[in-house]
Amino acid sequence: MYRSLDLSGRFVASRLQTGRRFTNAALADTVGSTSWSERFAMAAAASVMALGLIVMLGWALGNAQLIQILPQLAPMSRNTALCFVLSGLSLLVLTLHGFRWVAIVAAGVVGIVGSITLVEIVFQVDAGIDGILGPSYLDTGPGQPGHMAPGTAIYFIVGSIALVFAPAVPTSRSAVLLGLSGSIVAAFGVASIVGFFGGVELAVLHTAVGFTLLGVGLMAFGWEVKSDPTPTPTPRWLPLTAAVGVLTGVLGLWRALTVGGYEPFALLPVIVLIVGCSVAPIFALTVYLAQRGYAQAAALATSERETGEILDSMPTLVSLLAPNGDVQLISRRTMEYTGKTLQELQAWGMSDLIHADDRASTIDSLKRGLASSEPHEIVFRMRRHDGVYRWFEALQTPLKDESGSVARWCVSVNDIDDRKRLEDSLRESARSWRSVIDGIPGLVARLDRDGGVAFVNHRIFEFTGATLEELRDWGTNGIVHPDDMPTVARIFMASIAAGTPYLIEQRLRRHDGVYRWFDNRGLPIRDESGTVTGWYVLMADIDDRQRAEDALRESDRRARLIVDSIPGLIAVFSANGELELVNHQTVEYFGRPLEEQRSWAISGELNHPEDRPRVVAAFKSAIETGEPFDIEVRGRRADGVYRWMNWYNLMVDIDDRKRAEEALAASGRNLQLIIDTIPALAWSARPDGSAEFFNQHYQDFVGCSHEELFGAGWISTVHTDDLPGLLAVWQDMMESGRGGEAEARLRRHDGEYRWFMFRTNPLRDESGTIVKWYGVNTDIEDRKRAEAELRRSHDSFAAAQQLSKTGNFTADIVVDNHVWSDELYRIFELEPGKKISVQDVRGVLLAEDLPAFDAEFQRSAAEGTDFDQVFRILTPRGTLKHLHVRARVFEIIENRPVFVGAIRDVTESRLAEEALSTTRSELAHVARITALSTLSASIAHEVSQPLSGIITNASTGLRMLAADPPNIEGARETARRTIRDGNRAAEVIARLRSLFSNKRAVSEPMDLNEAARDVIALSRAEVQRNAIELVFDPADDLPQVTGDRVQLQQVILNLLLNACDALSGIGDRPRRIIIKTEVDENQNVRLTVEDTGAGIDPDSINKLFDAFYTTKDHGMGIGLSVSRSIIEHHHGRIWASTNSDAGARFSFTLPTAATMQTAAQPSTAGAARTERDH
Amino acid sequence: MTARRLVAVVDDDESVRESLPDLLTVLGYAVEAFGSAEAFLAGKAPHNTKCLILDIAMPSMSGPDLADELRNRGLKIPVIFMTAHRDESSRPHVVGQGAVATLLKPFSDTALVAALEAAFRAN
Repeated sequence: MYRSLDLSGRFVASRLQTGRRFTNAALADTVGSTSWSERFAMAAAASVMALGLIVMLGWALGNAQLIQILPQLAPMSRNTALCFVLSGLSLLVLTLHGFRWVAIVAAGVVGIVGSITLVEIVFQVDAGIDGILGPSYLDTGPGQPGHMAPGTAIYFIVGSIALVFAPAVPTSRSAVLLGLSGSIVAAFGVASIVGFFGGVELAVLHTAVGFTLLGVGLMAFGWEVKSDPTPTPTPRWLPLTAAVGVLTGVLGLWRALTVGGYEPFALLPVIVLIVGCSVAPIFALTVYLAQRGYAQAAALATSERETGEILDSMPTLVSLLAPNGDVQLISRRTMEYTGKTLQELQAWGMSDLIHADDRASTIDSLKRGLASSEPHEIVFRMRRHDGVYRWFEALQTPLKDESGSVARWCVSVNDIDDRKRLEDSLRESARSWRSVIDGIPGLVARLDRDGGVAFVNHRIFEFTGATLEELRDWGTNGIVHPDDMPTVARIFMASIAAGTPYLIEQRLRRHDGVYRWFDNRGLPIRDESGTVTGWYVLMADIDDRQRAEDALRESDRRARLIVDSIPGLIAVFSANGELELVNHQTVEYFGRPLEEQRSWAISGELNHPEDRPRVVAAFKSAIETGEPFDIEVRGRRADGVYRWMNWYNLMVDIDDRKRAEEALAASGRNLQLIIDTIPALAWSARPDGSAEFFNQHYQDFVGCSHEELFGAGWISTVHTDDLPGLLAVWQDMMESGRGGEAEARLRRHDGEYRWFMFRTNPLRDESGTIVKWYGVNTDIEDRKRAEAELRRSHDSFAAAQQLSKTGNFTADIVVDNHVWSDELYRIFELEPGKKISVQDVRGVLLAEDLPAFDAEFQRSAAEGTDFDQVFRILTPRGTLKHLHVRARVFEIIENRPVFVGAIRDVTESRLAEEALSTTRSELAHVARITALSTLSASIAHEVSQPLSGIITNASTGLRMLAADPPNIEGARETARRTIRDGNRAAEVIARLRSLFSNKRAVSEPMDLNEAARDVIALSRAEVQRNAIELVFDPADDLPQVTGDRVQLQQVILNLLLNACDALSGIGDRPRRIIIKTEVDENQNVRLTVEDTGAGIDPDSINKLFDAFYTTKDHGMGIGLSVSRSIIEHHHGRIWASTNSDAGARFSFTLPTAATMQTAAQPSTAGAARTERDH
Repeated sequence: MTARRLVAVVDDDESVRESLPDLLTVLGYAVEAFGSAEAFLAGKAPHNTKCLILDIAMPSMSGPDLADELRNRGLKIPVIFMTAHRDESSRPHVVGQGAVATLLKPFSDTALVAALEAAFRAN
């Protein structure tokens, strides 16, 4: 996997995929300060020194045991011991990185001693080196002077060379030197030890041990000082030394065997020699291979570092993970961004790097990614160095090795904080919109176009306790009261189908199963084109109102029941004597309904005629004086029999009154009960205004006791902002003695203020003096909120109207009743609120628009159909305005259609349209003149031709008349022809005049064939002059089109002239133009001009109709552009295509006059408008 | 009437084909009128005609083309061209082909008489 550094992407990939086994070892190797090798070298040096010192001590003390160590060993010479001490010292000093010169001197002495000894032995001289420190032998033994053995001397020299030169030469070589000499020395030592046990004495045992130690120490130190820039843990010389070492050992063994009695080439020594010689290179090779393997691994580590650098240079935050998710490499950018070290980042799972809320999910997500071996995305918040968390998206990509298994994961982390924030703010805005809807104190829903429930606000959920699914099934699951369902369904379906607003009063089921009355309003939501896209539904709780009405009806019914159940004839008169009420018995008795009894009190007609004056007088007097009366009269029963009866002023006898009083007492008790149970805050106050009574509900609501509220205590429960107003009204009421009402906020027991309506009435005694004030406060909070909401919505609606210059209205045309929005008054420049009648509108209408308006108005009023018209008004301030009114029937009240509509001030767009129309028509005129100018020769020809005929005929005629006898008949014929040719010339001129004129365009039904024929006639000479064959192929029975003849002729002329131009360079095929008219598949009229010319470049086919685009040398490039403008203005389409064989084909289509009429059918005014558009 | 010289008129315009022959008849010529060059070539007229009055611009074969064709056939008929086009470019072209005269429409009877005289003089 080790590759040289190329810069391809694959390099990085392969690099990244490599294993990671080397990383930690390499790290330790470079970082470790005192290594094993150094310590080993130190220990070896110390041991060697100790050995030498012991022997030296032995020599100094004359202790043979110390010198010999073991009695059977030969003594170590004094010089040998000295050399061991000095060698050990030298090595020790070097390992301690101390005084190098000490080491050099010590080693130098060893070298000198060794060399002199060797010289003595080789040259058989006595330099006295052995005895330089004293006797070199022991007296115990044979007394023979002891030499340092020659081998010993050699190996000391070898060792000393290394020790002297190692510090002086560059480290790589010194390492080789140390290693090599160390291995030689050690090999000798080992061989000697082996020899000793094998009975061959190369050196005495302790000398051998000393050399072994020294050699190993040298090698260890050589190992230590290798300081090689190449990334190997072992020195380069190691294989060689290993081989030398093994070989020396083998030779030593071989020697030992031969000395020990084997023939030099006996089997065993030979085997030893061969095996040893084979082992040595193998051993060296093994060491070498190990070294190389390491070097590769180290190179890989370097490349890893380079990978890290590449990662660092990437603009995103990148890291590499092991297959198990351990972080291996992290780009510097990541560390800078997070302000964390590699170690901290490796432990990201435990640190605050990932936001605490995201940590668990991120780890989980990472694990899932690792398990899947697929690219994976994780979104989380990561901590920046300054402690700010930002949103990130991590892309976790697997890097696979050749076998396809994941070797590593590359994680690139991108900052998505801004994007995330944007998304959050979007969500927030959607949420806040929702909370606004939820905040509306009513039930609000949005329906889709077909009436399905799309969205409901929180209140609906709260109120119904139903889920959205259940609410969608409102038609069947009883959310709407079953009794109301048929009506609701009918109105709702009709409204959805027609796209008109609805208003339904219906009951809705509350979450607790109680049905409450609601006012359900639905308004269609429309897009720009007016299509209904959905519905808003607003439901207001009117249950209390509904209940109150029911209760009122019920109480009326009960009162009626009571009166009916009293066993006497009861009638109630108003203060002026009008009969207001009679009980059932009275009706039955007299056999007349209440209506017929009305005048009774005045006329007395139900009484016996004799009693009538008396009755009338008594009534009259009672009414005038207010005094009670009783009278005995005869009343006429239903059967006509007059019966005596006693009429009391109250028409009850004493017994009945007694009963009534008891009932009243009971009703007083009931009253208290009612006052305490009614769901309103009831109170009373003394005439001076100090409060004396608050019902239980009041006390419960404000959370105050009666005592706290008593007197002026209640004031503290009123909102301070509302208090001045409330007190002012209260003061006003007390001064005027009249009841009144005011609105103010009351503090509820929980501290929330709610709006209340304070209604107060005085209670007076007989003398009219106020004895008490009674008041009832009703909760109007919801109403207030709704009002505020309504006001807001009204304001925004008004603003929208003002901006769009649109006003809306409701009009009951038949009874001439209109309601206008403020903006509509502004548009008409009328005083807002002024009573409006249709005459007001007609009054400002321009006289010429009046007939169309009246027609539309009459039609709408009579048929109840939609109204759609544009008309002009002259406002009181003299401004001319174009108004577009659209209205449709909203409801039918008593067979009268009530319109709801909008009026939009379209003056600006109308004026712009007119200006555009003028410009367009002028441009068309210029283009037409330009086109005609190219036809001037042809036109001259067309005029000359009949002129020629005229002159020839006239000449002929004159000559015929001058003949003798005059040829009268011939002359008559020539005169006839003269007239014909004169007419023909006149026709040409008429055609030309219309084409040259700059008349305002008119729209009228016309025959396209005829128009084409005229154009062809004018161009005939031009066509002939260019040697073009012109074929006109008109369709029979071509339907008429609606349009401006001159403008359409201009288009045909343009196409024809273009075709002529296209044919000008053609010589290899017939020059032909075919003009064809037909009805196309869409029932439109199509005219095609086809030529056999050069055709159209496909690239320019789309630009042909652009203004100032031209492929000709002459011409401005406005012909086709103007043509398109004309055709589109006629609701048609014009296009170009290439002929299959040669040449081009230009076609345009126009709707037929019949189609146009149908399209304009819904409103005659619409047609009138179309006309004005042109 | 065999003494009368045959003048042929070739013009695609019908009014010319009606009016010009009448004038020529009054002037004492025998006349034959043709609506196109092809019609003229189809009959025996090329061999009998003593003077050809020829419109320059006609659909398909033009006046000058017809004059060329006659020359190619070895028929030397004096030709008077007529044209309603006043652009000068066509005139040298026409005159260069040996036309006796070119009459610009509308032309007077005297111009026609002069041209015919020139034609028969040349003949």
